[in-house]
Amino acid sequence: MALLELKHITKQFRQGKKVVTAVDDVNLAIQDKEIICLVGESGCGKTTTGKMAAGLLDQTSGQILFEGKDISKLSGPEFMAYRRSVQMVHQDPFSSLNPVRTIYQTISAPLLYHKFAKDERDARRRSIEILEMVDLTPAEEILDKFPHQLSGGQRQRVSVARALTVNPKFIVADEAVSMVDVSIRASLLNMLRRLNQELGVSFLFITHDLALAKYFAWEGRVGVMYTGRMVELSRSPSLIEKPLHPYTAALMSAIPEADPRLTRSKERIVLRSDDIPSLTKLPPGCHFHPRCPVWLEGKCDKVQPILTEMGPGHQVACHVAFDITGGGSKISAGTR
Amino acid sequence: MADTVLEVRDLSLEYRSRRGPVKALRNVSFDLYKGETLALIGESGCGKSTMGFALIRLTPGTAKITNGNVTFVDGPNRINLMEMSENEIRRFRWTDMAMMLQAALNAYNPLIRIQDHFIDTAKAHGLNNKSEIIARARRLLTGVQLDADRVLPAYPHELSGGMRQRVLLALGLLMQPKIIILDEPTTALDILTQRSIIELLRKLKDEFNFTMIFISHDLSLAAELADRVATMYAGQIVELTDVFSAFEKPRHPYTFGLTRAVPTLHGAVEKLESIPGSPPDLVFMPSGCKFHPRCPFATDKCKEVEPKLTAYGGHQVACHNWQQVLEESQKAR
Ligand SMILES: Nc1ncnc2c1ncn2[C@@H]1O[C@H](COP(=O)(O)OP(=O)(O)O)[C@@H](O)[C@H]1O
Ligand SMILES: Nc1ncnc2c1ncn2[C@@H]1O[C@H](COP(=O)(O)OP(=O)(O)O)[C@@H](O)[C@H]1O
Ligand code: SF4
Ligand SMILES: [Mg+2]
Ligand SMILES: [Mg+2]
Repeated sequence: MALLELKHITKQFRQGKKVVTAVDDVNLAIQDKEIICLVGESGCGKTTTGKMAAGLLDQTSGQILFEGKDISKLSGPEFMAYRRSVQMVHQDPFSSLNPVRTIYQTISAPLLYHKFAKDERDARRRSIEILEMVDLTPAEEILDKFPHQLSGGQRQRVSVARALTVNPKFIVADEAVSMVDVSIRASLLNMLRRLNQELGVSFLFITHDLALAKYFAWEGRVGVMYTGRMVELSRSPSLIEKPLHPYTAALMSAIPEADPRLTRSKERIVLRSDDIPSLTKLPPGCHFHPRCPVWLEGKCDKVQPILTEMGPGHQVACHVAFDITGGGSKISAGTR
Repeated sequence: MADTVLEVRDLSLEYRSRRGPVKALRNVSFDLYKGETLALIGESGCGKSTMGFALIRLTPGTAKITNGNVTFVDGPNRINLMEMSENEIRRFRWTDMAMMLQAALNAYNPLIRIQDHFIDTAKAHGLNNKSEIIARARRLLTGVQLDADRVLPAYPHELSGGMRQRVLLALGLLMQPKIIILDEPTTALDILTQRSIIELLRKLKDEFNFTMIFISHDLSLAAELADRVATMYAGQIVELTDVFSAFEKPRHPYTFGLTRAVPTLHGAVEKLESIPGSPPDLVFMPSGCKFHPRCPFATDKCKEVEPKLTAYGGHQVACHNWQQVLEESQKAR
């Protein structure tokens, strides 16, 4: 049984007079201890998907199962347990931490409220343990500081520490390392991976940076979203080595690499158009077809492809990928 | 030896602050070669943007250039920017050297149509013929792959981030400057948009032959576009070399650290290393080498004596222990 399962999840928003579908029929099962990265360009529905998974936003249609149970049918205490088990860490630790509270106040409040600590003394002891888990040392000193006295990386560690107070099984990390400097990003990522390995926390790690996704989820899976739809979902090595969706292949070929020889010798896939379609005016058939270099006229502009398993642990939603036996040789480029 | 277009010598700048002077540039010296693309890299707060502004004296009221010279070399003419009057420097900006700012959005007045941005900029530099200005603007907008008919009458907010970045490039090229400075030109843009801006910069450079300095905290952009890379730390250049040496044979522990902190998509899966700590407070800086509190190579000498940027062949580095760093960086490969 999956820890958390999204079944045909759709989310619509009203934008002025129009209704847009920000997340369109997404299916995703997150297993115990699993890491899944969601990638895609801004506006493709990553945050909305993450918020629904964390129970912070209701879906318009579809079902969310937590440990096999539909969360809309949970009893009060069961729902509370689910909400505790799934925590979200946001991009900007500045706006998500209360500026007038010390770190101790921020960390101890959920400990005391959810009775993970009996009293203030116990809360302090536990707070120190948690800060040490996220490498915030000396923890004793950090506890009495305010958010503005910490660096961006340290604040992000506090956000993670706060999520850990309630012993979550699953953390949605939304661009959690995007705003910190590169020099400390690695240690944040390594810390999150340790939480996965040592505490068994599952992650839905949202990022627009494919290289980061590869690093963080090498043993896990990567999902690629485009205009609200999951277009490819695969175990990481197979996705990186042989992307099956032309959009994934285009992203991978476009990304500059921090290695001058590598980045200058990459094969580039040129799209037919640079315009990202508006959610209020999506093209028919495959939403990607107006930009797709390998589209099939009469098919891609007519029929919407459904995410389908094409290889072991490798799902894709693309007519051309479906047609190619052996999978995607016409699509992959720039990979080695 | 390549021709020099800009000579920077001992450039120092301080910001006034309640806590004392913020020493954002400390005796920076380098030559910019004609036609090259130089990347300025480093974590935020190292002084990269300050350097960009100081080179064209576009500094805020709280800043003071305390020392140094910036000399623009144009054939036989040598022009010291620090000796120019306000009027002269205003003219010089855009016509000889243009700077395009971080976050294209902020550079635009939201109440003015794009065409008027072109007209105002041209008029400020003595070009008054409106139809000629619009004709130039059209050529440039087409050059940056935009539909001039659609973009010229638009207001800034009607354009996407990628489009605004392109308009900014076109605007920067309006007076055909010899040097352009770009501050974080692709930050906050999506991957495919970033790629098209990168390709555009290559194309424009071929066409207009300008010299380019670009500032980025993103190492992959430097790897992609730069001929040379200058690493900044605590208001100084600590390493300056060609792009391949910077990534493959770094001699400064900071550059080495940065290159080990970012993953590649198509390279091998390696463990990433971070650099402990954060850049120093530029009001109260550590003694000796400003990097020593974070440096795995630091020795006693590093705590006492600040190393100077020194050239070994074409490779400039400011580190007492660069030989060990080079050795380590070769082992790590
Ligand atoms: N509260 C909201 N009201 C209206 N539209 C929204 C809301 N939240 C998100 N959207 C829209 O949904 C789409 C997906 O947004 P989001 O999930 O934030 O994407 P991502 O995180 O991939 O950038 C965007 O077009 C966005 O404008
Ligand atoms: N207008 C200003 N007033 C005071 N300090 C400033 C100002 N602008 C920048 N600084 C300080 O100067 C240092 C360098 O900043 P900056 O040049 O923006 O660095 P970078 O572009 O590398 O991030 C930082 O410590 C910053 O806080
Ligand atoms: S001079 Fe010393 S402290 Fe500075 S970078 Fe070199 S080894 Fe490190
Ligand atoms: Mg988002
Ligand atoms: Mg800057």
